[in-house]
Amino acid sequence: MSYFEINNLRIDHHSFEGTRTVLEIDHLAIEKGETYGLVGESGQGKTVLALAIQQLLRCPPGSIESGEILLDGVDLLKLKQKQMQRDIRGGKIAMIFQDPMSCLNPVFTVGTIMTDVLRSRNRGMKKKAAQTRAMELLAEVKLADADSIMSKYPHQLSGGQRQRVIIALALACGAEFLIADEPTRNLDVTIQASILKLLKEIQEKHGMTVLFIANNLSLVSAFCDRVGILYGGKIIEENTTRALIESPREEYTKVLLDAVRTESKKAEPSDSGEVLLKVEHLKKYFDINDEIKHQKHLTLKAVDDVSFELKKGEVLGIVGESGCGKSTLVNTILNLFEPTDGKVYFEGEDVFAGAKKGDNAFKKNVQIVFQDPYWSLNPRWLIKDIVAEPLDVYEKLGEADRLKRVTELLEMVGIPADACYKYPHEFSGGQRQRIAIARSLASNPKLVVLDEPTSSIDVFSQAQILDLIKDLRRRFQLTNILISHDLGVVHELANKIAIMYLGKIVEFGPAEEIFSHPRHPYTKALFDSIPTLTTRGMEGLKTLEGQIPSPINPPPGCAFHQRCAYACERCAREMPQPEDLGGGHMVSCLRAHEWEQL
Amino acid sequence: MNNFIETMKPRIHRFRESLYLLARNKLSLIALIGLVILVAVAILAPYIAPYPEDFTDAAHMAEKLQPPSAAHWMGTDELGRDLFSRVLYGARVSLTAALAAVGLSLLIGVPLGAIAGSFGGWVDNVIMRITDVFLSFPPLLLAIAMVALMGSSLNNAVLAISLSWWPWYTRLVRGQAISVKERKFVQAAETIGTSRARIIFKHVIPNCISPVIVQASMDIGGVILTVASLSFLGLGAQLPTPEWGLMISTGRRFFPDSWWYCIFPGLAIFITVLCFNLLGDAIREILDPKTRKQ
Repeated sequence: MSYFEINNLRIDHHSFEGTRTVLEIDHLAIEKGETYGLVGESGQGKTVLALAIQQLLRCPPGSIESGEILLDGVDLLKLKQKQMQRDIRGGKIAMIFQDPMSCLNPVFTVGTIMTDVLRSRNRGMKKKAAQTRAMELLAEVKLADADSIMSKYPHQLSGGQRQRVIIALALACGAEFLIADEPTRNLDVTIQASILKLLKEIQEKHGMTVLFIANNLSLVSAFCDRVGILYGGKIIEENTTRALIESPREEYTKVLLDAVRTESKKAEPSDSGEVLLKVEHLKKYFDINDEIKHQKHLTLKAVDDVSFELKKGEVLGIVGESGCGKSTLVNTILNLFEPTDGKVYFEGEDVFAGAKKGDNAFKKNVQIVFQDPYWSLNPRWLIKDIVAEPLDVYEKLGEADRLKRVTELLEMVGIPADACYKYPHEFSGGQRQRIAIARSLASNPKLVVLDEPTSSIDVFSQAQILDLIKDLRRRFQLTNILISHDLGVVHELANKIAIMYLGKIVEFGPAEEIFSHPRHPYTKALFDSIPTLTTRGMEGLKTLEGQIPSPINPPPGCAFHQRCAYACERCAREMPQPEDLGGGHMVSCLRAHEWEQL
Repeated sequence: MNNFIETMKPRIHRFRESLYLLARNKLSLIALIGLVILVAVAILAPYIAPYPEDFTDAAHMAEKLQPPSAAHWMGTDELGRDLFSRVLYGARVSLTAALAAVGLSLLIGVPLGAIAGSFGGWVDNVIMRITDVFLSFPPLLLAIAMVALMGSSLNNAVLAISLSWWPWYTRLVRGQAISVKERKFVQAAETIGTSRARIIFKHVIPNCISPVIVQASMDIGGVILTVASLSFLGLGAQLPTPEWGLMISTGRRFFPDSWWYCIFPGLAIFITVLCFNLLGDAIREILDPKTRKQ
């Protein structure tokens, strides 16, 4: 018998629409010390399983119809809540959630949280001893300066640090079985790699068994021994990681694999026309009063002296870690934020001056498609009103004309006309994103900003949405700005790329050139830290160590020098200026010509 | 017309789904049934009451202060009027007063809160400081002072209650509006170029209304109680209006011997307030997107 086993498990879900089976697993077995990857997209039952294992599933509306979940021969489903609490949860099983902020109580310091857990697990443990143990644990998860971390509150830590604290908590309980539910989902790619490495190390050291839940096959390929694909509540395919990636059997697995293959895709070149958008020395500073430390008039340089040009028909991909200022840059260009300095020209017209005069033409010509189609559509509006919102502002149409136009727009994005009289919640993520795209086209814009257009929808729809975007681009000769951390998407759509770091564009140029030959060490590090299907084991994964420095107190000289493997003493003093390498390829690095030889 | 039917379809679906969720909880179902009966009684009072003429100051001195019997289910009062008929009619008085007061408060409070929350800055400051001034008086005390100023009548009581009640909605809606305006669809509307007023009334308010509905349905109970209290103190409804609080106040004099005079109007208040509170809880449950999604 295996260490962990699930037999004939069936979980139903009861609602107004009736009863639906959400999970049906005939057999799943994990050996001791093994890493099992469970891959599937949201809504396929991954989290339901994780909760059911710990008896944390809310019943009703859920109900466990049949089956057993065996851990070390004990059927967890037969245990009482009290026994689960005392012996299993935290004791034998620990869980790492997606969002480390919401699982750390914000009103306690890390030290208090850690010692509380330790002392509740070990009766009679003295406070002093608990503190010492907590420090050891924090050191074990590679949190430098455990002393100061102990006295900090969760919100004072970065996402990566929080996730490390959670891992330390799992260790504190002495868990043997770890459920990691998309532990790196909300983290940056560079942090993601280091967290994965840490998990692997700890697993090997303590001989833990890990159930790793992910929505993405490339993560699993580096991390897991065996993989199961969850689709519609069933495990449709199971194999060792290598075998599954090399010879997938099911259609769905192939789609999942295609979604993370970046090599084959390539953006179409654009026939460079006239300049559509020109950004000149754009700056956006935020004034911050730190009332707790009584420091006034600090400046946060979210966007610091950014200039670029975008020609008609081009797609510019903006890439960077979170907090690098990519959203602020776009919001400032769109005039949603008051710029601190600099100019933006659209078709030669000064945008900020135009807006002051109350000119709405720029707004009509520039539209945006947001990341999360769930929140970007007003849940209380009918689809026809959502799509017609720009029409209501720019062309006052009669009811019949308005409806006709909405139907046309919906048809263009592949949504049937009867959608008009439905609400957003009746559609899937992919369909909602189509509706959002239809809305963005309603005012016949020339520039459409795509803010992570596919990152919160399932892979089936992702490919279709990308095709739709490409198709519409061709039909309407749109120019796009694409914000994304998914290099696959950037690869497929963008023909120009801007790499941002701490409010500045550090590298800018034609996509093909940057992908094949990055000239900034940061670009290189960013590309290397992303696991791909060819990454074998954790050794192949390079990590970018260190935190992103605070934009309030940027380091002197090159902002990246503290994390840069090639930094020299000059980098700490001198601010690199953008240098033209020819063909529109700009790079801001003092050692751009020499670091590759080092 | 066809469009209208199409528009209504999803709403009907939603309504039926709400009923399903409501029926899942026994207590809320009881509350809902209780309130349906109450509203029916309020509307139909003149037709179902056994002695409709007893709503006014009719007097049948021969039958004064009779205990409950087959002819008078709740006994009679000091003028020989049937208490059952008067309690039935009291439902109409209390419900209309409460609905009017809560409705008026919503009308003042919700737009102010939405404006304060969406605009922020000095607009927010001005509105919220005015709100604070109103909030610094206990509602009942403020209402008593206003009625004393304007003269005691049911209408003035309703007006006074609204004026002391709206700040709660303003605060509630403001808090919601601050979070709603950060949502992406509001940003989307801004990039589209939708006007500020339209954003507030079409995007912000509909999305902060859920907790307001919960609060309002609970408040109806509270307002009924306040109206009764004011009437009890002689500052609300005036004789011979069959208002529950007023009836308790009059019955107080006869309480040791004629217990039914105070008990039955009191029970009516108790049940009504309880039903509205339970309904508020139920609505909260239904409007919670977590319940909805599942």
